[in-house]
Amino acid sequence: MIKRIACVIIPNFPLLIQFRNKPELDKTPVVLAKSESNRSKVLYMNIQAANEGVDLGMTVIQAKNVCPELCVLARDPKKEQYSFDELSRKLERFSPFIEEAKPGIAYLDASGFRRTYPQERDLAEKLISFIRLQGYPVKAGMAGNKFTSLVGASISEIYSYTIVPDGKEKEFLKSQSIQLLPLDQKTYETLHRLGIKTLGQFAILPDQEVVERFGSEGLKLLKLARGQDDEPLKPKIFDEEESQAKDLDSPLETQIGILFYVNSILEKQLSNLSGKGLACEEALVILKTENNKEIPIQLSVAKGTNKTKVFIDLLRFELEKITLPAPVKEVKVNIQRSSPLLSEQLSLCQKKEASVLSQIFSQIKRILGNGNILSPQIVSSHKPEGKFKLVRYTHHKDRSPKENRKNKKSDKRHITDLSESAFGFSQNSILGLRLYNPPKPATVRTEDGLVKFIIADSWYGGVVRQRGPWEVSGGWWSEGYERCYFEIELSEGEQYLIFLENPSKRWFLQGIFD
Amino acid sequence: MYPAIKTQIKQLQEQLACKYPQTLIRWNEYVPIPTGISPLDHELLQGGFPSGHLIEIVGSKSSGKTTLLFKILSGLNKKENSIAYFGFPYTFYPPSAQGSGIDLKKLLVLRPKNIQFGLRAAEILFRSRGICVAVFDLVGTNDQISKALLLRLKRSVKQASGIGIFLREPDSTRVQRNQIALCLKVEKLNQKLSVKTEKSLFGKENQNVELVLND
Repeated sequence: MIKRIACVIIPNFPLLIQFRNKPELDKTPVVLAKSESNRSKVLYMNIQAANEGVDLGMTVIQAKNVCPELCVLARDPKKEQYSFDELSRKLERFSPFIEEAKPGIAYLDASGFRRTYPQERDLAEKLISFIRLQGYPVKAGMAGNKFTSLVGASISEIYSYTIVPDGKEKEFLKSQSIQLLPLDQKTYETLHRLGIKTLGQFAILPDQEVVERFGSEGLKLLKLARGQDDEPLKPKIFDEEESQAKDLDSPLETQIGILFYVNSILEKQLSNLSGKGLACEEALVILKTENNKEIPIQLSVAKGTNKTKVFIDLLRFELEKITLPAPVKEVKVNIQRSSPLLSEQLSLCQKKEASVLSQIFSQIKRILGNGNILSPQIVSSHKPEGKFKLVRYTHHKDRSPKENRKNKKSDKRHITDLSESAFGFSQNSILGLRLYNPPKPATVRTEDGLVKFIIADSWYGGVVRQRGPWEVSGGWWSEGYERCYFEIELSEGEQYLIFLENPSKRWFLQGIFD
Repeated sequence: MYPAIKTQIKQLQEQLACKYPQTLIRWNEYVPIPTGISPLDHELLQGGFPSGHLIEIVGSKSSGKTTLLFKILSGLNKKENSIAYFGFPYTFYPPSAQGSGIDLKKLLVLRPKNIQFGLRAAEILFRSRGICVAVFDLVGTNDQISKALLLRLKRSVKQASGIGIFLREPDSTRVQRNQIALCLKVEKLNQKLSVKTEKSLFGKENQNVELVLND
């Protein structure tokens, strides 16, 4: 099958979206900038503003000087994306694969339409008339690759199209302006100085010299100019926002009843999603009680799944936390976020274990609380309680790149600290330490510098053996500490780590060797 | 037994083995997971800790139970095995664990409000096969353990072929003895640790082995 791509351009799409809400501005000069501040640059403008002498790239204050009655609007990217998504969904009737390059420009996979549209111009005409019916001005292009179809659409008039026959891309691009290439200002100026004004002039330049002058980016541009754009279409996957509600015959009071109804709704929705090759990442359950109160419960998993049981388990944990003010009369389930369905074989203690942890992490968090799932890290300090830190556990997949960099750094530190003694105090003891953090106050009796008796934490005993003292001090730049550590053994064989704090001369129990 | 019935049972077993292989595993069958402590693996246990079972390590204060646990965990931790450490209350000292050879990157430390929350979290971790070993440090706690939750944990440990280890002192929280497959009692003898099997479903009971942990 021959690869064909259709490109549709809706000129000034962000401005059109603004006009839809403010039709009164239709005949006044209007510009669209990132924000309404004076330093923002003009990104889009209507014909009235252009007639007044406003130009793209001017700052708002410059534009206002040129045209005092200019109306400046700030862009609303969310609204633009939403409106364009809505249009793209409608275009799915022409092609199942649609790529949104940016709001206002879309590529459609037009391969294999011979049976429905014998001539390519039939498809182009239908496409234009359909978008026109939606209330947008449009122009279209059709070619064997994305760049050529974009050029075709760019040079077309409004409500018209350009079709580039298969294999004729290079020939078509030859006479087009170099400005159609995605160039930065510096490259454009360089090419302009070299006297290169058309794509054809650029295309005949030798590869090596282009790479030497413009780097690998230059080679990409060269390929585009020669009509050899091999970038594949990246179809947009629309989030499935499906909602389903169930009015109950009799109000529900028990947790089991609610789970039962949610289960039946979710099962249907998730099987629908599976059919589309999607998996659910986030679902919202809304319980409407008899006193007309809505209780929203957000259920999210780190990795998309279509297993109803996973969401039901999460819901159970959530329901256990809350008390319902009245019986539930309506249950509503809304799939909020979905992702492509990926199959994965689970197995114990294999390399895939990390991704499994990510999925169950949210469940555990609900039981224990976020701050109680920790990952230990060794850090450099003299105090036993400062020799480690417990950081909140985040799965590698959930971490931001910044966090990952931070973790890499701490991993390096972790490796250097391996050379340090694990205990730092008891080279003679074979036992590991259990740490009391914060240290527990103790009462100690000493004779001639030797620890004889200790009372701490509702127990007491005579000391039969002791090692130490080891002096530890630090933190002079802040509060500061000075401690004398002793390792003591009681008559019953228990071994403790205690310290005398200076200058307060108070004794503390730091830990037990066990 | 009649030969016809024998053949029928055999046929049924074959069918079951095809459909549900786990149903034919006998209660005392297990795959040993080596602890990495040679005398313990070969003299006391039948090659290692029994996978899919609950194990108890008991010892009085300064008996060396924590040290033994860390040594065992470092052995279990050598492969890709992840460990979840539940502390109630929390006296876990990571430098000590690292000094025993535990890879802290494969260790998840959890601080539940009480034992019941910990058991539920461990059950989820085992069920999803995210971990291989769960340690419940019960030293210094006297809370009761819910029998139902313990049974659920036991089932999930079995399904995941993991190990659940309870570390406790003789006077701290008790775990129902009939749920435990192996109970090790630890005592310190000078520079050695004496480990005794108080209960074992898989080997001889009341066997003793002395370990030198300075190696």
